[in-house]
Amino acid sequence: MRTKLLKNGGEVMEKQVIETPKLGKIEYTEDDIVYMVSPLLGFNHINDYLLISSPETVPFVMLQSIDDTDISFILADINLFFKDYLPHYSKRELKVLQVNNIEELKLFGIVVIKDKPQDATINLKAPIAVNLEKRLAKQIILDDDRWEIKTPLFKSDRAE
Amino acid sequence: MLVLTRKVNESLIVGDNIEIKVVEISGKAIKIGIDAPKDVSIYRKEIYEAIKEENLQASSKDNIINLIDFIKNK
Repeated sequence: MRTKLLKNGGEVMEKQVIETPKLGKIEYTEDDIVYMVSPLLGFNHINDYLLISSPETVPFVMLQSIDDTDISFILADINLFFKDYLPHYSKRELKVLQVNNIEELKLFGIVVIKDKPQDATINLKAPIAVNLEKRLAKQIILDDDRWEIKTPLFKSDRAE
Repeated sequence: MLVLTRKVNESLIVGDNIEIKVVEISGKAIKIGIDAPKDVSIYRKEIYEAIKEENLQASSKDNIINLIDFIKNK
């Protein structure tokens, strides 16, 4: 069973369904929609997504487009893998996401898996910051050379 | 492409609300200042392209299939 991340509001909302090629049928309500305040680069036509977690894919979550059901991404909660990851966000970025400080945001990295999953990389240069409360998200490109676009996700010398 | 010559501290105005100013020139490097509305994103082009390429790769179908296989085999 797939469950949508967060949101356990009391009232019953009208359910909608999308059929996706990779994740099958997904039910959602208006409240589940995560709105990308600026589109992901390369996906200018898409703003509405669902953030889907399921026991089978922990610690990964899926970012599924509603507008174009062919589009989905694998995300990982960056702090689960990189404990000391704390980028600097400008006041302007925080304001756009309607928070006062970065701790109120969940930071996800987009994961790319080439041939071997153990060689998977995560994009720490442009994390997707999500305000889970307000359902707002933005991919923020960091002006910080400590973090790389293709950071190995699994490293033998790091505890997972 | 429109090409204009500017000196240090001279600006260009793009549209009504974007100003691009040459702040400093040293050797081959030029420091540029940009004033633009908050909703206008500004990126170094090579980084913009790299992130875009990474996003496109990340949405490819193989990506998810591989992940699911990997998790099943764990």
